[in-house]
Amino acid sequence: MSSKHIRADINFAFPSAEIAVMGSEGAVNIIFRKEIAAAKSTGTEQEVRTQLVNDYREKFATPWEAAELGFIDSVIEPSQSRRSLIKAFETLETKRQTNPKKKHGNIPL
Amino acid sequence: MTDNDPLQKQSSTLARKNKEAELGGGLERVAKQHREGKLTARERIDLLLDDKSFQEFDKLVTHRSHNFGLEQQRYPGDGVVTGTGTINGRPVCVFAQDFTVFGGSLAAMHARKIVKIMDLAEKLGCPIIGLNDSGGARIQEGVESLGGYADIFLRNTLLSGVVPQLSLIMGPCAGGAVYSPAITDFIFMVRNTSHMFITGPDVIKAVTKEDTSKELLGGASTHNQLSGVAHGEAENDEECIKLCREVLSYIPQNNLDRSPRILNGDATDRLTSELDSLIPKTPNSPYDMAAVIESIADIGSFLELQPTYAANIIIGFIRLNGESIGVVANQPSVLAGCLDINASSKAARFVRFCDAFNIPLLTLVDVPGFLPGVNQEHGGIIRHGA
Repeated sequence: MSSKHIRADINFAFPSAEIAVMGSEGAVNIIFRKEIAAAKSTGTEQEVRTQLVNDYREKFATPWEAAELGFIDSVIEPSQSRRSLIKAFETLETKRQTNPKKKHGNIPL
Repeated sequence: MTDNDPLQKQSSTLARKNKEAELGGGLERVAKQHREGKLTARERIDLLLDDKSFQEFDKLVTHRSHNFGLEQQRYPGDGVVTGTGTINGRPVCVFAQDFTVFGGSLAAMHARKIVKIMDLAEKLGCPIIGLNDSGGARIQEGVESLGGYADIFLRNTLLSGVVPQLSLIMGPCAGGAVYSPAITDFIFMVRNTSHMFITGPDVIKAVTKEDTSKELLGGASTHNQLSGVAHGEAENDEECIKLCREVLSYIPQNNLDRSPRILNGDATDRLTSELDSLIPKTPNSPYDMAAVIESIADIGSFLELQPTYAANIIIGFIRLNGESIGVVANQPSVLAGCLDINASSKAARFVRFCDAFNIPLLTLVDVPGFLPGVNQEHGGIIRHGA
């Protein structure tokens, strides 16, 4: 929702944010299907799964990847929310943006 | 001066006509309106507008019909009170249907008055507020009444996105009458006394054999919780009018204007430290997003719209350093904040409103994704969520 790609002007994230395609559990099920199946046969499924989920979460379910790509403009402490947002809206005061000329669009009603 | 003095005669004629118009459908019907817990059209306008700011139009307009003995009953004003005034010092155009006159029914001249005041709202670039309390089309005037609705609908669509349009439903609003409010930006309803439906319980009974009541079918809670037609509900007329005044304080007069800046002294650099503990460390634990919004906003400035419909998403207005901001936020404490059909259309329409009137948007995102389910897919989440 409201990412830069759909023209949000300024994007903040808290350090605790999880910006990912899907939740860690679901992702692990897909990416490590074989590893999990193998663990099942040796009876270590639970431990392996927990380990994989933690790894995935640490690596991908964070704001850092998005921040490195510039999808997030700034990672802020939650306590800085109000002052950061007020500054952002002040900055955007003079925003100008135009869309292509058309009669009207036809996105679903 | 004598009794025959033409000037005095003229002014007493005016006084008599004015008095007649102000009486509406007469004391008896006014008393009935009050017994039902409803205020009259004029009382509502007095509450809505700043003191003594109302300037009335077309007070002496009467219908032109000679059908079905209608010529014997003419009420100056023809069942609707229209005019201009101010709310917190800012101009507005307003019409209030008068249920005590022909049950507030809409006919040619009644509609012409509404059209005139809507056209004025466009010219002035100010909000148009409709106070709806009408039994529907005045059937004695037949197709002229229907034409009157169409004239209003046309203006609703032309003015959409140009000036804010607000509807307060304060009595019945059935059949064709629902479409004008439906096109407006916001609908607020009064509990127990207001109803909106295309066909009433009797017709439904005849056609589909379903048993229902006016309240279940189209009361304030139905449209605020189930259908999403309304954007807010109030206990009584006074509260509903108060809500309307409050909403207006966040929105500009027109698409070229900007919202008023209302500072309340809340420091811009106030730390929102409560957010450190408010948002749980474990990603699957719910919390109340409304508290996050309250924390960020100028103190006491959060006004939520459609709070009881699709509560998995929050929409509303806040002020940041006095400036009006639209908020869209996932609510993790309801359906884990998932997006579904209702939440999508609720948020999308609000975003479109803010965009049309250049109100900046703040989006607070904590969403696991779309709600999975057969119902959702069959209901068209693809087109609603797009």
